[in-house]
Amino acid sequence: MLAYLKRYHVLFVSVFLSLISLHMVTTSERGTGGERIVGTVILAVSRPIQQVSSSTGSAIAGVWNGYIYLIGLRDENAGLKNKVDELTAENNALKETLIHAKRAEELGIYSRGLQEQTTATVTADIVAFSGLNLGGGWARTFLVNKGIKDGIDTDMAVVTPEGVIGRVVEVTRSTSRVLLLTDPRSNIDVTIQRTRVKGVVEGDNTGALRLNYVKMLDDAAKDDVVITAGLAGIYPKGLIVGKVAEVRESEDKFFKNIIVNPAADITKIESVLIITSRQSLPLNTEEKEKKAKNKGQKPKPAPQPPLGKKT
Amino acid sequence: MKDYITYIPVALVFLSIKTTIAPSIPLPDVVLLSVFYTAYNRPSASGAFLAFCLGYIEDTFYGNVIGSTSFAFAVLYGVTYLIRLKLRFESTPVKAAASAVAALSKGICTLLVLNSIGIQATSFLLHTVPVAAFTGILAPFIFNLFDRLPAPKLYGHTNKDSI
Repeated sequence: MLAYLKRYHVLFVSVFLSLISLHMVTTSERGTGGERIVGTVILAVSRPIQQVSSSTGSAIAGVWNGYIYLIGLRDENAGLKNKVDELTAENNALKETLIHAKRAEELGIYSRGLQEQTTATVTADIVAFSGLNLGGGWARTFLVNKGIKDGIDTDMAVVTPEGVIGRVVEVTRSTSRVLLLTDPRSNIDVTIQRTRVKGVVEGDNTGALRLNYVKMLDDAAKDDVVITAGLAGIYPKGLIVGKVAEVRESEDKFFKNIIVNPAADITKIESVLIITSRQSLPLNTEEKEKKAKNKGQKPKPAPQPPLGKKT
Repeated sequence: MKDYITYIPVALVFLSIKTTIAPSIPLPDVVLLSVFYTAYNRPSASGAFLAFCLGYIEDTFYGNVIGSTSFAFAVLYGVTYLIRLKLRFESTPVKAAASAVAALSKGICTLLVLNSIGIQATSFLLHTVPVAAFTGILAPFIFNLFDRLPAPKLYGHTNKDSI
């Protein structure tokens, strides 16, 4: 028996390590979150290497894009793209306000208490990608160059003017890992903007998204805009998630099979905004100021609600 | 363990390049090849532990579920160890085919683990197939480079015998 163990000790060690790995898989909360000292150390050790290779790649790409490939057109294109992003965001905000106002009118409610969300954000640059294309593993994440020292924490929303990108799942002192909305572990509460039908968007590892829990009787059509519902406490309400690309009947004839294309082209982004705090301010601030003047006090800013855990 | 320590910086540099400069370029799975190479040429308990560590590092880099790649590498190490007792990979096409099969096995192992915890990543295999092919094609060349790394002569193998 001892000779057998000695002869195949490599095999036994392999089996033992496989079992430890399985234990780690089942205790890692679907791989998102949790304190991992070893992981933090590995990321800290590899950070300088990544920084060097990232800046080398950026330098090469910069020379190519800025000097060799269409000099001048790049800046103009970037300016126009920014303008389109701004107008898209503004248009979406206006649509949302219009729908809110219409509904309030129909219900006969005088919409004094309509709330507007204001946010504080941190701009971060992407330093490393994984799983965006061939050979990067199955997970869809990226690393950004902002961490705890910049006020970043887990479960903070990551966005661009085009739409939602994902959420922070791991933070070290100077970097954060962002779980993309296309990762199979991601799920976001959403609303179809036109019909106000609610559902949950999940990543499916192909680059597209699945919109689940929309009943067969609910109205959803191609090109409908999908926005965040703001229910889970991570994403503010009204951010664009994507557009419906395909609506099919499911086999169970109860829910629809809906494919959504993400609004933001994740393969082309270089910087993102991380929403570090959210607060609700009532629109009728004039009335508040009047009241405060009458009392001889300055109006207090609205309290900052903590970001809730994702459901 | 010190005989295998060289593979850790190799993996760190490869993963850094893969996640920064070349996230969308299909590169051969160098980390997998180093596990396969050590399991075939220098099998030992330390080597199995190295495979586990390399899996952990890859999971950390890619943001995978921690343990999924470690599991695949540990299984691959054990299976390669058993196979080497029966088979010899002599010619270049056989080395390439064996490496491609190892890359596919890694994908299947990872997928099984993910499915067991409710993560549907079925399309992942579609990405695995071209990477496996690419890994297989370039494997003989990469094994040649590994031959130049400092190696102990275990089980009577020399660098000339290695895959």
